[in-house]
Amino acid sequence: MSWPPDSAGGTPEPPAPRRRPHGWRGALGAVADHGFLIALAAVCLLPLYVMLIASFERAADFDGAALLPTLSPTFENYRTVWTELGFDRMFVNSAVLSLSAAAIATALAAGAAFGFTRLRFAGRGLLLAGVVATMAIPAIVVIVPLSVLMTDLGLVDRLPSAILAEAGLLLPFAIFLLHTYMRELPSELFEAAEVDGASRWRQFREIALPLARPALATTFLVSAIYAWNDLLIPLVLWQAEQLTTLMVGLALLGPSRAGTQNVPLLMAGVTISILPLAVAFAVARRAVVRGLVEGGER
Amino acid sequence: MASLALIGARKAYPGGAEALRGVDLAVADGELMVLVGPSGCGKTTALRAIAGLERLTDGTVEIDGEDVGALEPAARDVAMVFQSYALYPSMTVARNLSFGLRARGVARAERDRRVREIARLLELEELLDRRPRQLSGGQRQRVAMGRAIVREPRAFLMDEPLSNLDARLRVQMRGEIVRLQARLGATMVYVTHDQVEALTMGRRVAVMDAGRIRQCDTPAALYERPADTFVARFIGSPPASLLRGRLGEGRDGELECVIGGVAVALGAGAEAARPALRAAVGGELVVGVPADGFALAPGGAAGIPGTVALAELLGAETLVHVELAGAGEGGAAATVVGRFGRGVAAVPGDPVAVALVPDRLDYFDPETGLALDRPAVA
Ligand SMILES: Nc1ncnc2c1ncn2[C@@H]1O[C@H](COP(=O)(O)OP(=O)(O)O)[C@@H](O)[C@H]1O
Ligand SMILES: [Mg+2]
Repeated sequence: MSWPPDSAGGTPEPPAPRRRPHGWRGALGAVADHGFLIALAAVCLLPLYVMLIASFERAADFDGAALLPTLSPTFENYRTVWTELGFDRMFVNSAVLSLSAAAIATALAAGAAFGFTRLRFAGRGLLLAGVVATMAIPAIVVIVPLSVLMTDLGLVDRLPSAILAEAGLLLPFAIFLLHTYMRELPSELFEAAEVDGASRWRQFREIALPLARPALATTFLVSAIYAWNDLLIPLVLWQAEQLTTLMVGLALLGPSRAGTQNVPLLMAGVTISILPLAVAFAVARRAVVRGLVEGGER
Repeated sequence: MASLALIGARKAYPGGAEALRGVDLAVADGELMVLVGPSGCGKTTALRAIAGLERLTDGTVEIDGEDVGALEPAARDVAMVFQSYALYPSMTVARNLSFGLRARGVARAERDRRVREIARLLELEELLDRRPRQLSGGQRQRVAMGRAIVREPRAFLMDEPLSNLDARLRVQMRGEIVRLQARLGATMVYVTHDQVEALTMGRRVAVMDAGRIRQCDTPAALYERPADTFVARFIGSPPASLLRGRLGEGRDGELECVIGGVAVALGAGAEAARPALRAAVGGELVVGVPADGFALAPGGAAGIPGTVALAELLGAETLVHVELAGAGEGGAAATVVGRFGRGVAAVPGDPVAVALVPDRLDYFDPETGLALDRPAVA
């Protein structure tokens, strides 16, 4: 067989796409490329691997340097953490905090982002810049006044305190992300709707929201992950035992309770706390990547 | 349906672009008005101003004689078909069609009835459950039209609705839109950049350039009596050729024009048809010659001497491009395009003499570009 094959019609073939040269040089190049990626993945996954195998060790057997899975794995650590140390309740608390804060932040940000793109008002750019600038303020800076405020409102150790605080801290980021996306939606869609007689609310609900679905999913997921992982807010605002979240529980696990650090037990706790994130990300990965990468949808 | 009017409409965009520079346009109730002009001349801006999507810098928009400048788009109750169609991507065709009715609170039974009726009228019945991305260009165009019609608005504004279609479909849809407009008795402003489309569709056509309406007339009048050199060069395929000449009197007192060193008699009827010519004697003139205003005389015969540059055979007719020495501005050469039968003898490079058909000529002021026998257009 010759390449390019003779074309019957005599029309010239378009140039063949550039490919990797055949032969051992090409093979070597492929190995080098893949080798690099494999090494990179290994570096990223190593801590997770160590965590996983350690969580199945018995505390008594653990010498602190396991690189191979133990021959007698045990679920005991998981059982202890889940039932005796109260991780079951903490899991629920974390889920409540993370999901409700993310839902509130995403919902409010969707409205704000729509307003910033579709309403014209004096000082719009300045206001948006101000909102985005607050992303730079770390939570630790506001935690004291926030705690005082919640105390005054009588909300400390009640559900809304941490949820609202977390949602508030997430809001600028969520507005920024959604605004970036909505800005790219073709304005003629909204103009057509205006001529059609649709109110702003209808434009928001029936045109903007359905088109922004990938961005909404991304915003919700990223917010939920952030809230799930946050330690500071629940530590300060949810001090009651029955409101302890996983992150707070993990922070308190170990030295304070067991005297000496029980590493396999800790690793089981960490694994439990990471699992939902891994699952959520695996399920929503495509939507998230799309939301982050794509500007708008035609 | 209602009448529409733009009166002294000006629009300057922030940043300085002056899209409308004093536009007067009156569209009668039930009339199809075609607005034609090159890209960027302000056609879309004019439609958006009528729809209420842009506020005029100056001037007024009237619907049925009422100043609607302060009304929101929804309150003006006109429908607009966008060049991009702007179909709602997340909705099915059925929901796209009913969107405006839902927004205006039309009851469900009435909504369904009207959507079905429009779907039948525009042959969209099979497509009602599809989404815009699953439609061809022609189908999208029909949905966009349907979305406008179903609302039974006071007027239709169409922004180059056929420009995204292939040539064959475009020609077919032209006819359908004209029929539809007549059947609905709709007031319609139809925008296009294609003068052929404009001439075939409009009873009246407004020719626009650089934010002004140059002439608003019937297609025949635009072709036969262009108001200025822009219209002469824009209308017709091929458009008229412009030549420079000096107006004088022949021995018998009849008007003649010297073009490229040759005196062309304007004929006895010229002065009667265009009284302003007499006053221009002794001055420079721009002479507009439509493509069918030429006669070819090979070699030596009487006419303006020139050289054949190109001969294009287009089926039944031939377009001949001829270079005429000294007939352009400041004595430069001018290339003219004439339309002839298919048998015309014209070989590139050959010398020819070009005669002009006196009745078909138009005369323009070289300074203003305005036709000599027309009052100046503000
Ligand atoms: N939103 C805008 N901001 C600034 N300039 C604009 C805007 N829209 C249109 N223009 C300018 O106004 C002029 C007329 O535009 P438009 O009405 O879209 O022309 P047309 O539809 O005839 O092609 C153009 O020069 C264009 O660049
Ligand atoms: Mg346009």
